Amino acid sequence: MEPPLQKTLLLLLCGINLILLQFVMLREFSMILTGIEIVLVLLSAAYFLGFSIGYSVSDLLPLGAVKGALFALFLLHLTLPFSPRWLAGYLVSQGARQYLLLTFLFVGAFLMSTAYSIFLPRWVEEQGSSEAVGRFYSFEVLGSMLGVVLLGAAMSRGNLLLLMMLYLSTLLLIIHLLHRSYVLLSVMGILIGFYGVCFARLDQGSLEYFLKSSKHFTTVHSLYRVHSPYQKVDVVENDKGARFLYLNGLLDFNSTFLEDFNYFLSELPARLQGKSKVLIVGSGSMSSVSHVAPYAVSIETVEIDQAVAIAGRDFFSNYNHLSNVPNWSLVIDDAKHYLGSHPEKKYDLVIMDVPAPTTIQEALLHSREFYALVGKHLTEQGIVSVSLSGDFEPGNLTPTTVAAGLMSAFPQSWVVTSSSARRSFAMAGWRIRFGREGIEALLKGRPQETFAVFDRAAMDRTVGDTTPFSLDQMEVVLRNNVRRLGAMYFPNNQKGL
Amino acid sequence: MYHTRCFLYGLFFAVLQYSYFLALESGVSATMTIYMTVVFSWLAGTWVGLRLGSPVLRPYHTLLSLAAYLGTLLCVRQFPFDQRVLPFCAAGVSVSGFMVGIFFRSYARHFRQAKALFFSENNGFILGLMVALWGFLEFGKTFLVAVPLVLSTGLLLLDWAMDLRERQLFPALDRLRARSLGNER
Repeated sequence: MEPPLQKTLLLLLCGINLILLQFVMLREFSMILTGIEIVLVLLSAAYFLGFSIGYSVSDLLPLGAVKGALFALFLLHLTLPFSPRWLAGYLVSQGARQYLLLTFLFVGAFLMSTAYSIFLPRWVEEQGSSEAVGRFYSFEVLGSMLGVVLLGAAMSRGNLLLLMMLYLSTLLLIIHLLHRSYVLLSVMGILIGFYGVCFARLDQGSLEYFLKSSKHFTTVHSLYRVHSPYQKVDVVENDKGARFLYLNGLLDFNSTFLEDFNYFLSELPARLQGKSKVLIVGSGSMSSVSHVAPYAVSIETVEIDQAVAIAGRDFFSNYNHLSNVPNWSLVIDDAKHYLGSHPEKKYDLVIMDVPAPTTIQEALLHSREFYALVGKHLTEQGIVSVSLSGDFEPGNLTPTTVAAGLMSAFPQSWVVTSSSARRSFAMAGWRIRFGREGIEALLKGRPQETFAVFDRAAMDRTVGDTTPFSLDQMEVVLRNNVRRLGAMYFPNNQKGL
Repeated sequence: MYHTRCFLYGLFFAVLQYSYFLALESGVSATMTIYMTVVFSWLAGTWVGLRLGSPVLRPYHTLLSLAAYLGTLLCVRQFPFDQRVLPFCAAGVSVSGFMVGIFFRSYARHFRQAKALFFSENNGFILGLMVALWGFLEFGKTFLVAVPLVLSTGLLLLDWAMDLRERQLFPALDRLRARSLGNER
């Protein structure tokens, strides 16, 4: 016997919203808590824990209480994604940063998915037949499939408002199916309309409040904010006109000191290589393009996330000067796939302008296997330039691990440590055409720069027996994640961590 | 005992799903298309399993799911970064999802309350997410091959042992009951 239409429709709508909500929650909360791998998994676990809570109370609550709870949920979710930012900003401004993680895991578990998971077991049990599981659950799964399609459509436009309107409208229909009250339907419809009208202002205001509280800005103006399929992308400007690019809450470009970063990552190797065919992996602010342009025959940027490319092109034109670079082209693709599927491409210089390896995906771009793939695309004297994401010192995990990967893939390499860029950089290749003298000659011309150059033997001593990132193990990502999580949210228990 | 088995199946499903993501994202591409393909195919397979699948989970369902996964891994390794393998991978993911649907239909018979079924499976899924992250970071591609293999073998053995016990225990109990009824008369 097929279940009643009202119940199947409601489960279908629940399935849609579970997918949409999971996306919004993961993006927003990871922006607030910083999107390192361990945070993403903890948030996913909290979200699924909400299901378990819903299942366990499914037959305990009277229908009236469920209806009331859903309406309360509607009112609460009308404040998404602003309220989490306000809450996080308030907690940080009150010096309670250490409670952020636990607060948001709690919110994720109890106030997000719980209500949606009450109906399925409740109705199966009402039906009193084990056969009902298949029939009822299939409608929720069908809804989730529809949710994936809707999510894909909304995200291809990077439009959070569209996604939220879809989500709230679906929630409105769920509540209407339960209440059957046209007055309530009208009130909720008006509230959603009001939400749509106020969205842009609240979105901007809440983000600026959160950034002011958590990132030490005195004043901040949000210029660009997108939920791309891959991450939350934010461009902000401070009172002095300096611009900042944040990816999932992590600083990717700061127009003050990261200019030095781009000199070491891009300009120095480009000058050392001379006229080159260049590939830049990852775009960020795209300012590395202008740093290599004077020395490049052609420049290709391969970036997985179109939203980041747009942010770089449109909001950092003062730094990347793309309009003055005629020989530049952009490819939207995953670098692994791009290089793997174009074996004929050869470059004199490959610049790895990608974030530090705090997630599996980022670590894959620093892995032995990826560097080996890059090696196949280098000309005989070509080099790859990489930021080591920290100071190259014995025991400093990330820099030594990244360097170990490069050393396992290439026979020749150099590391340069810079005081102005506050980190170290590596260059590696099959047969590097320059030596220590060439590097030092260029760096001595830079004012107020203290630097150190490591040759292969010095690199060997510093790296020691460090295992590189590889498809065989990425344990350093886990250790760094745990350390970072401890430093951010459990500062008093650092020894324990 | 069904709660434990249900929990372990949840753990297996999470590890399998996460492993599909990792295998495809590292071997083909990390674009959103891949992510969406895996999620959609998994759900589509589950839907078919719930609607049309067998009402009893048989060992060959688990073996089929594992074979689909290992086939996908092999496909990705043989043709790295080649998006033409995507339809085959999607089919593999759907077959694994299909087994999930059958699992829910089949295990529902063993639970007096449906909420206990979903609760146990979901808790296993949560643990599986964390195990999969930790396992991949620690053991890399060895984890991708070994753990789904070990988990599915363990589940098959557990199911076999439990079925054997039920088949021997329940007739024995029936005989005992019949004898005691005979004595009463």
